[in-house]
Amino acid sequence: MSLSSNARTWIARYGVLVIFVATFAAFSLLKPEAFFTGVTMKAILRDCVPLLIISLGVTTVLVMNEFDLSAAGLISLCATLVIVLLSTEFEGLNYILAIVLTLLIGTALGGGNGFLVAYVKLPSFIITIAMSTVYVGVSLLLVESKSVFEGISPSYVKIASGTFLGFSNQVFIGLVAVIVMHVLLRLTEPGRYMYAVGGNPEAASLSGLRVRLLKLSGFAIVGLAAAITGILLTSQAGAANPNTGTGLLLPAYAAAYLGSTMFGRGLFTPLGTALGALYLQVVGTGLLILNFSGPLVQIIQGGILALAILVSRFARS
Amino acid sequence: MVSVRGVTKRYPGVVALDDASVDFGSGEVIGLVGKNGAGKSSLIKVLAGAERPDEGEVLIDGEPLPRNYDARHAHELGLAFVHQELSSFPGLTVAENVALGTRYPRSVGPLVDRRGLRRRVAAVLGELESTIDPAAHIEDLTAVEQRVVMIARALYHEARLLVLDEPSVSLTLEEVGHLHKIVRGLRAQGKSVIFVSHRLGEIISLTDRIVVMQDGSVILEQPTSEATEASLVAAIAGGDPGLRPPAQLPARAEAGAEPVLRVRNLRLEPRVEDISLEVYPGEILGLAGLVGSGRTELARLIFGAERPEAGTIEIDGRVRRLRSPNAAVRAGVALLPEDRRHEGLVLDFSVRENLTLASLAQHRIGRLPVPSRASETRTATETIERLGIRTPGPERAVRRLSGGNQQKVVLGKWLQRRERLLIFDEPTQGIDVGAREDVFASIRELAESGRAVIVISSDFSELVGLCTRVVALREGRVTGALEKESISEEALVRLAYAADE
Repeated sequence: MSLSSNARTWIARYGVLVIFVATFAAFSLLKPEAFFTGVTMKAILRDCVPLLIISLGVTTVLVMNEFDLSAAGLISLCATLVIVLLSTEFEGLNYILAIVLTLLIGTALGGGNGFLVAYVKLPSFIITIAMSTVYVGVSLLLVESKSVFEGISPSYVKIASGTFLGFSNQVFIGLVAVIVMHVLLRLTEPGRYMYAVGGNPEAASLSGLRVRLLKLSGFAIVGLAAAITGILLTSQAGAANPNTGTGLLLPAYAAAYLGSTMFGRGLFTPLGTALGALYLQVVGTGLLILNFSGPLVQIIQGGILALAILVSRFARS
Repeated sequence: MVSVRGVTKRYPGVVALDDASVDFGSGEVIGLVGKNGAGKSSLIKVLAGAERPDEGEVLIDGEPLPRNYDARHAHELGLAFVHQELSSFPGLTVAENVALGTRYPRSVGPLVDRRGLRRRVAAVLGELESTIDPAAHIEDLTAVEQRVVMIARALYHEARLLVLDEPSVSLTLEEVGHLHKIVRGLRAQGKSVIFVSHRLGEIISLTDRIVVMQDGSVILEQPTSEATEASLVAAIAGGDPGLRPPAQLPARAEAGAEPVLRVRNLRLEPRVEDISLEVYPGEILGLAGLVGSGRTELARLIFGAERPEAGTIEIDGRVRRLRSPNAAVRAGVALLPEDRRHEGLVLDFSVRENLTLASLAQHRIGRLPVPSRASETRTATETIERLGIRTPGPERAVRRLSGGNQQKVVLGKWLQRRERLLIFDEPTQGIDVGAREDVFASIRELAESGRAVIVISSDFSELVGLCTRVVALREGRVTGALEKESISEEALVRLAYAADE
């Protein structure tokens, strides 16, 4: 194509952002009365948070050139686990204790994946698929393959459904998560090291970085993110079922990849991922308001992801 | 046959080729020389169709190249490229590699006629006087055999012009001899060969004509018979100040000082039999040995990349069990690897990020593990100036620097730390004359600051000018040590080769 290199640079840097804004504008024009309203905007911000948090988790391992495909299975496991721990039908623990235990167990399980990848040197792609199957099996066992509604403390439900300053609590949780991950990955030493590991593990190791420990930590962060996501989803629904996380795996990776195309450098960043997750939610909510059916929503979301990657590739070539 | 006319190629901030013009005729061996970053690789990329010139044109057999010229066109026009990195396909046999890209001969329907294929490939290998088995798996071959396979591939595809990019790197003397014989054979068949090398000796003994590049232009073209090593060094170095007279040797290890490194009776079959040596602060110790002498394995042992079967390693008087390179780094040992692109640098990181990677904790804001950008930039700018790294600024991605400048970045990374012992594995591999002196100066500076340095090099003349002491290795044992004035190339060659006498 005969595009000047300046134009290419511009498209590479801002092309996906332009698609983002254009989509938003299109929904606003098509259904101003239903889409471009305070209520809808707040709902979008709230609804994107579970996806946002697990996306931030997988971003950490993507930075190091690894995959964690057990993220969704782990969300399901943590979701059933926290409910089983706190529901009076089962263990009936204090809900705060149940949450703390779930966060710890999620982190430990993620760290376990990291151990298998970093120390036992198993390929992350396939071992996390295997572990995911195990997690889903365990979560089915925990609740005997049924959804659990009973015996859930109202205080627990309030975590996700409560509001503060007119916004859902989830929005603040999401905001804190983005800030924490941005600081960790972009501003601290371990963050810089994680990018170095992704860029050249051999050189990172020869520079004295603890490559294996960094990888293990990355997977532990995915575990923590999965636990938080599982807690938010069950708190919001006031119920747990063993398929809670299933639909989040591909969107989480889509959000991270969309985010990496957002500012042109092809780098996975927490801020990019946050925009990616937000965008997927805008499209999902917008299409819902336009009365598109579920299958169509999937087709369009997938198409947009492919388009975004295409635009950034074309412009960078 | 190939005519390059006024070709210019720019990258952001760098002019890689600047109005370069040169002709390559039939049946001649042309030596292409120049510093790193002089434009040799860019010229080759243009010929290969990997890069398109911004200005100028390339004619092949008098025809200008088509606008959409690419690697396939180059192949069809009879141009073949044997790159420095081996680009064969593991998992396939020698015969399958050689014939890849042509239609394999068929037996029944789509089934490949394996015997016929092997027979044809064996014929080509025979022309090269090679005894490689066409049925062997490519990954079982040595480096030189793989390079011969790549040349056979070019012949099989009936290439008329072969570009050999640094083909003699990491080959033994004997292997280099075989390679040269093959190149002469190609010329006798009427093929043209462009031979890229930093080794001026082989350029003079092998080629018919020499092309010298500098700053993206061809600055000298002359028949090899008119060239001498000295005249080439002058042309390559160009406007740069000539080779500095050998600097004063760094202060000899102070009497009674404790060695930084003491290795006792180290063994790791099959290459390391029994090696003991010491390195003192302020010393530049050379390790002289041929490929297979155990020198590389010794370095890997000291750096924790391998574990010894017997013997001990002491650093600063303490016996260390080094379980990983990481443990060695924490014990104060740094390795500047031979393969810097793959082992020394994060190519997508900026110059600044690479320079501070091993010493990031020095740039903390307060006590938090949060590096200060300003402090990093200050250090990076200082280091860039001190080592003369050619880059538009500290934020340029290291990927876009030339080989010599990349090596300086690896070096700069370790200058930031208080390493007790630095090991340089082939520090001037693929580096031009000017950058080489800079690297030597930095090595001397490191020794003068009281650190211990080990230099591994297959170029013994380099060790003579640089080292305060040289230990010669042969077949996994120390065969002798020379100090200061007694170090000479002949003596080293004698110690390293003596088994043959």
